[in-house]
Amino acid sequence: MDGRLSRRNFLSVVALVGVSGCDKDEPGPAPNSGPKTIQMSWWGSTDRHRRTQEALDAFTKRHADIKVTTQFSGWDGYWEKLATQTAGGNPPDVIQMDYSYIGEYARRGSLRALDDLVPKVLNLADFSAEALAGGKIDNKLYGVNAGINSMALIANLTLLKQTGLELPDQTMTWAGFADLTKTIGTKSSSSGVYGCEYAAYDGAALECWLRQRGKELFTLDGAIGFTAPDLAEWFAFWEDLRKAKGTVPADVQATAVGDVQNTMVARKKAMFDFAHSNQLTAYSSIVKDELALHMYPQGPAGSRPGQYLKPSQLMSVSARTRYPMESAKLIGALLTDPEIAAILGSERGIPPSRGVRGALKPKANPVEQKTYDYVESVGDKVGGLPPPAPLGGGEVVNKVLTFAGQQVSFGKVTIDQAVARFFEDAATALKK
Amino acid sequence: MKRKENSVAYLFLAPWLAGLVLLTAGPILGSLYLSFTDFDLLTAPRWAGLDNYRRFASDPHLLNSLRVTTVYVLVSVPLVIAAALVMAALLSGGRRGLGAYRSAYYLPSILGGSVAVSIMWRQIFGDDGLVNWVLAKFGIIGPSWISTPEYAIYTLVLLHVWQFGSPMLIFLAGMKQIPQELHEAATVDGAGPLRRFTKVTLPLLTPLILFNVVLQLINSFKAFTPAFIISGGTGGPADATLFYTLYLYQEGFANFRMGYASAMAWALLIVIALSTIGAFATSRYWVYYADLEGPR
Amino acid sequence: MTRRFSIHLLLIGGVLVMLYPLLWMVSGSFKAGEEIFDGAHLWPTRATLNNYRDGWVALGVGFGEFFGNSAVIAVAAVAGNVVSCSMAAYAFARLRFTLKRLWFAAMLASIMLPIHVLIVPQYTLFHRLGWIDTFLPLIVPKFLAVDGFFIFLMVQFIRSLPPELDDAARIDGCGPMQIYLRIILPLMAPALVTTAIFTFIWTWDDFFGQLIYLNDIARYTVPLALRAFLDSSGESSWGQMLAMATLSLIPVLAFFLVFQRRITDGISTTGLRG
Repeated sequence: MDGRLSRRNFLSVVALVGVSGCDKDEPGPAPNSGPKTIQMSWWGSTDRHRRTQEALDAFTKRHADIKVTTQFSGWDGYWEKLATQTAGGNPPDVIQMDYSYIGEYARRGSLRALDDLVPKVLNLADFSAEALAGGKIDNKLYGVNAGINSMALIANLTLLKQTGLELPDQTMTWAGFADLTKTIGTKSSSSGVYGCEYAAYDGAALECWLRQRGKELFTLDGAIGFTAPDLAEWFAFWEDLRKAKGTVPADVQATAVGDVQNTMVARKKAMFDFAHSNQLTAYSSIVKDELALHMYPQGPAGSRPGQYLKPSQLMSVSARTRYPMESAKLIGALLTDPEIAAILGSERGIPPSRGVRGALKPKANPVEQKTYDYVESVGDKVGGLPPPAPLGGGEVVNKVLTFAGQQVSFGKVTIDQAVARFFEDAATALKK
Repeated sequence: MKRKENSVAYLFLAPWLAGLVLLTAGPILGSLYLSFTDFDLLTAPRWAGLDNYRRFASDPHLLNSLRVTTVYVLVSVPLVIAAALVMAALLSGGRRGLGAYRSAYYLPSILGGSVAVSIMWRQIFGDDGLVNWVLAKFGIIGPSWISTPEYAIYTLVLLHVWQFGSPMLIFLAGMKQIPQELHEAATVDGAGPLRRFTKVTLPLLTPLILFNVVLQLINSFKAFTPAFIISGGTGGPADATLFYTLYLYQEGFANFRMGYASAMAWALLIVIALSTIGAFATSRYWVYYADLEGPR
Repeated sequence: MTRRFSIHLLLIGGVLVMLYPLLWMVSGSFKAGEEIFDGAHLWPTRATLNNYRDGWVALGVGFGEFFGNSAVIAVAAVAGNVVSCSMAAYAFARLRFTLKRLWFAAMLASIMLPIHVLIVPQYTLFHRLGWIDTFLPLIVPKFLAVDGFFIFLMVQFIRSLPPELDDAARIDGCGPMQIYLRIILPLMAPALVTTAIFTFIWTWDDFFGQLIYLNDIARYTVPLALRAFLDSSGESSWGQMLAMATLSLIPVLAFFLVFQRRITDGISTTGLRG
């Protein structure tokens, strides 16, 4: 009896695992009659949930033959669930995507390229080429840009004024920024307020600085795009700033994990944070001081622009969907239909569709207006999109960089040791 | 009569056996299979033999996480059991008002891994927190305990000990089962409360002490949520709070290496199994079961 | 007298330490958004009920739905665990049968693997059964004694009961089923109650499992709904989340308060030794 049980077990296991590997199957033919049900997933907070559900209702009213079921959650758990569903063969049809994940999903065949549906089903005519490029991997469109943002320093104007300082203009260089933060540190570090956060292990800050020197995080063929001396110089800059009290101490910086309320500007420990323009809303809901958006520090005169216009979120279609047309129609409606896009508002970022943008900007609240203005103003000061990150790139920019930076800031290793370790770990991460 | 009661026994075991065969064994064997593969979740698993296991020795983060988890287990398990035992002793019995205390001391376990707990822990052990505020009165400027590599793990130990309510509840339940006559007989013999506790309560509680020790070992080796909510999922700073299961989770979901994560899980199972066998082996010397003559 | 007083003092002090996070949570639920993280002072400068009012409907569906769903799953899980785990525990503790040691080891081993490496094969299994987006993956396993933790707990309890009780009943003509129903179960009441409490609370608080298997908002449970207030990549609704989290403590606390009395009050009825 026992022998028979275990053989049955084994067969069912093999069957299970076999099924979970069956991603290469083509989706079966869709039934011809009856409403087509597509499932959409997104993450966000209550405002986005409410707006998106309303927008979906408006969409289904117009399309009697399409039903939309939803799956939404907060940020926590979203990616684990999506990966589990994909592994289990049951992903949603329309997927809200993030710029840091789309490469991983697209390159592993989980997303459906949308080029064949543009422009007949999905009219993206008034998206700029730049905006579209954000969703392209290997020149195919895997995600439609759902909100534009760019790197931005969040600056606490109230605290600056209290210290008797002014917000510099957009020509501020890294050297100028260092001086400013050191001055702030000298004046107010005794009361626990420093110039800026310790950004040595902030991937966006590093990327900006590298681009200004003519390099990138990753090369087109997926290798690390910078050298050990580059990284060592970067770490040395931040160590110098930290020791001069321009940045918060290492242990305080290490509390800035998770939500926005743990960041240095939100906790009023620093006057500058390295962030992105669409985070102004989140910061403003926690800090009542006056906040402003400012470009990241510039490189020396004549250097390449460090920033670029990035899709904050994208809408993608699953490779296993049975209803690609309907899924694409839904995405088109959400992002280009004036009435439906108006329901969604600007809270996912600046709408990439020129028409929608024009219609929504006047209706935006003051904080969102600041974001609109900022993104518009940096439009001519940014560079092109970097090459898409290779598989494992996310791990390098997050985990590997953070580990190295924290080792340095806590004095556990020398800069050279940390840099050497970084390149070793990055090589392992990229070797997929 | 020592004859075996197979058919009756298997009847009682039927739900559990059905669950094992239909629901549990499949996924368990599935994860064992995955541990020998390269599996990024989004594409089919590819056979990789022992590669994942061979990677253990050269993975510094894995070794870090083993170190962190071992410290956590060795320090927090004895403290939790001791706290649970002492408080159960103090709060057992039917006197009025004790119910309120019991609920209050159990509440942290109900709060579990909620977001509120992670925020509060930061408010207590962070750079601006309660602890540093108290220390400042003595002129000591403390670091951010919760985010300094040397101390961060101990804030997690404290979080674990703070939630001693669950094992305490189990001890309370066990104490209720001890016949009142034994307590009365001991009192008649002149034993005070402490004597009664050590001579009557404690020996009869040993099966549950073993239970709590084994379960705390298993749960502490597998601990995930405290490190996740306190470090924001990073295991930082610099791996100081990188519990083994947290690293496993990062590898499986964030880094798309579920095959390696599965291998890690099975290695952990072996460690836990060995610890459990160890606990059971020592139990013959100190655990008293009513269905045997003296300690087994 | 003074010794009792000082013990009480210590206990109360301990209670405050235990409850500080809870107090923060409750006080935060009455604060406006930007005040919540404004230092550790507990008392809100301007208490407001908005968080409760807005949070209740913030997800489109009234929060009562989520309480209802969580309650259904939790109660079913309690029933499942109490019945199936006690049956298995009785077999392990009191009956002799082939392969007992092996099955006991298998039972313990089944709780040693972290859920994260089991979730993908489990999900695949439930998907093939068509159970995704239903409560079934969360309830059915409980009726099949999947929580080895409780089997082990009950085994330890039963083994503390003198076997003479069983023998006496056997002499009176009772078979194993009768012994289980009439002798063992009643005497195991503390263990059953403990199982009920733990199962209820852990199910009520279970985020990961419920997140993976439930899709539609109509089937969402309290943990899923609470996390849907928080978006760490954007703006979160903290006040509303704290308000709903405070409300969701009430059923759990009530369940605990009611049941914990059965663990500790009253006199034990074992003791048939002459």
